[in-house]
Amino acid sequence: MTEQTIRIQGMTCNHCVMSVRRALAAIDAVEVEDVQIGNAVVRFDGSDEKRKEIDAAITNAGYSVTAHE
Amino acid sequence: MNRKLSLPVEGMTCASCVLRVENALKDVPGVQAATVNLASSKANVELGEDADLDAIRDAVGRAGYALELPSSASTGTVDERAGGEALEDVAGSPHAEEFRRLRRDLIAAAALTLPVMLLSMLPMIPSVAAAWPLSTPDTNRLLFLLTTPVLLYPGRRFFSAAWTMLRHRTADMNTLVAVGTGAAWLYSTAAVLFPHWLGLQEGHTEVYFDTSATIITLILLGRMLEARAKNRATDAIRKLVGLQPRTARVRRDGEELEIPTRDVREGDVVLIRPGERVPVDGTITGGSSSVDESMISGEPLPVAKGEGDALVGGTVNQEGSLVIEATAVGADTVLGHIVRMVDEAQGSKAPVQRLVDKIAAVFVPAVVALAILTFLIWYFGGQASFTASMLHFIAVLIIACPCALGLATPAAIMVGVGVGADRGILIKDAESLERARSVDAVILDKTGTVTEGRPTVTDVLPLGDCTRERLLELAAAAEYPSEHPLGEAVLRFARGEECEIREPESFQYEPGAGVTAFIDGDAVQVGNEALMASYAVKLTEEDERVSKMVRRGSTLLYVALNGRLIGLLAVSDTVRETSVRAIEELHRQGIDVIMLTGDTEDAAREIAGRVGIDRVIAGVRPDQKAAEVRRLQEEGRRVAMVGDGINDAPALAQADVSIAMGSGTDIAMETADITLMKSDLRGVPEAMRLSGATLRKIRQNLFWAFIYNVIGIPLAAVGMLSPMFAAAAMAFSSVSVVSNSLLLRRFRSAA
Repeated sequence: MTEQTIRIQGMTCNHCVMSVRRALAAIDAVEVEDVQIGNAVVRFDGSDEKRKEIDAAITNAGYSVTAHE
Repeated sequence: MNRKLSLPVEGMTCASCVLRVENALKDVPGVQAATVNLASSKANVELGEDADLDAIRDAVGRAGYALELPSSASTGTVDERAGGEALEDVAGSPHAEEFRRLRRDLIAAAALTLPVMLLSMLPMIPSVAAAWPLSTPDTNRLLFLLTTPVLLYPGRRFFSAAWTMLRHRTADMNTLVAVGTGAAWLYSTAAVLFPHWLGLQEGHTEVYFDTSATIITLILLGRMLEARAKNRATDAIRKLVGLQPRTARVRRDGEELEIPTRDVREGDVVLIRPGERVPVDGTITGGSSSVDESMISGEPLPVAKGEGDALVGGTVNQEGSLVIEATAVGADTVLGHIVRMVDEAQGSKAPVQRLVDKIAAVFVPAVVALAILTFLIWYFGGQASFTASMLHFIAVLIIACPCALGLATPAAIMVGVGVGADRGILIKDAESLERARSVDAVILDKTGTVTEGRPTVTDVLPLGDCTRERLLELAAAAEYPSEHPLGEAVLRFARGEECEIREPESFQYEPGAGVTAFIDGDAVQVGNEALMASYAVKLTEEDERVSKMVRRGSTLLYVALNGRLIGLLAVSDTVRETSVRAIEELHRQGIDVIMLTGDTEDAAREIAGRVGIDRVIAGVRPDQKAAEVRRLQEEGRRVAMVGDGINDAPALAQADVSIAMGSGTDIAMETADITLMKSDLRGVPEAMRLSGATLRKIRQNLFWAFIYNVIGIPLAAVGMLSPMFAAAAMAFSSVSVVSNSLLLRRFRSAA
């Protein structure tokens, strides 16, 4: 399991935070550590597949991923 | 292949009728098994290949009853019927018909009896007699014309029933009525039409037409009052069937159709909108929602349901849309089973032999023997003529029939019911009272009986640096627009704690899980574990306080602020204060109190401990409740069952005495012998005492109904009976019975 902070663009308030939480919580084998305006901290196996899944979920929720740290 | 049929039987009135019909059925070749249900007036027979339905009908007819054969359409085998039987077909209603017939007969009898009484009584008053326009023979002829139809039309039921009893060499109330009114009519008719046969002079005849007519009318009145009560039991089944919505929306071949519920087949995809009643049993294949199952389970809280969960037909979908696959339809549904169990249990209840019939079975032969003895003594001992001896014989029979007999039971019941109603206790009929007398165990169902049936916040558990006050404030604000019982519980509690309650900026139901609200820009979720999971809110580690709440049977509400858990609220049903005192009172009356519940042992013991119940039967599935009641009955207990949900209906019907809480469903109330209008368990010991008091009144009434006639018998035997005395005995016994019943109004509560 690796921990990653994902930078997200487009989040402006707690509604956005909740939308991102919902989107991330629905993905299997991803633990959500924290979500704040502008970033999310998640734990997962570190694979590219999972990362793509996470990015897709955030994009589908209406936000864009700018970086993984 | 054996066929099973359920056939309506007419004319059965008591347990011995049941036996006679059963024996008659079993004697027919080809009948493998036969059971007869008195309450539903049905015979359930199992037939072999060679069974002849006409032979069965004739056998029942020979026993003195009428069996109705079904039309050929419904005589299929059980296996054929199982698939297509609709819920509506499960139960019939024989009592409504009986009630209508009795009411019709009573109206006819009363319309004729009123002039008979006036014509008989008025000439007894000297001043009226002087101005009477008709001669005595004419008056008597008029009386004959008015009374004869009373016996022939409304009164024929007594004669045919008495004839049936006679063929079985027994007697009951019908025999007594038939003998008494028949003797009075025969004598009076002979006196009017052929006075010389009786050695009487025309114009000086004494007639007893009013005795005949009045007795028949009053007894019909009593019967009608009882039939009206019985009719209500069948209403329960009708209402149960009514829980199923008439139509269902199904998806077939990609098209949405609205079809009658009885046409839904197993495997159909059924669509359920928010607020709709679930038409059939099924499994959820799409959507999530919470479902109000209270009409089935009595549980007040809606239950969260998601894909894969089972739904029961008749329950009400709350906020979400659901797609289900029908797993059972018609008679195979949970509702169908409940209907069938209620129907069967109502009939399997051992019918009490009514006190009146017990008395009549001894009284009638005794009176006939006395009458014969009177004849013999006059004829042989007193050297009287045959006609004169015959007159004394008939006089004994005439006076022996107590006019107030038909009133004795209903009058006491009506006053008892009135007294009960003032105190919020509704008693259904005399039989329940006769059974209530010997009750030695009361079974309570937890929800809604011992407890409030309304969720209340019991614990507030703030976590981390959140304060109790802030936790409550946020939870209350989030639940502010909610109409869910849990949300209302939170609000009620917060108001009680004098929290400041704000309106949220936005609010959203999370079907079957809880609510999300935004307050001052902060996101707040209040709901169950699933809700927390869907927002990736981390729950606390094992906490002793939390697991204790769960063990106690509390429902946990998690509260999250911006994705972090800030605390928990425990919600549970609270014990009613009055329950404790009710249970003490029952113990004082020597009645054991047993709690029967579907909850876990821990949760049940927790509540039982708080109200002082010592015996707990926990973890009982709804469909096992009736079996548990039966098990106690097999231990030799006389069981009273207190319940409220529809799922209690079979157990209520099985119990010797059933008591429904008025806060419960109509159906439980209609199945029950006694209904408590107030949600106060103290009504149970009170109802037991009132039953005892009413039953004592019935006994006293029977005494008053008989005593004047018993006194009259020796007078009649020595030849001193006059119409004046017969009329006075009727009046006195009726007045005694009614006024004695009214004394019951002085019944006082124990408290």
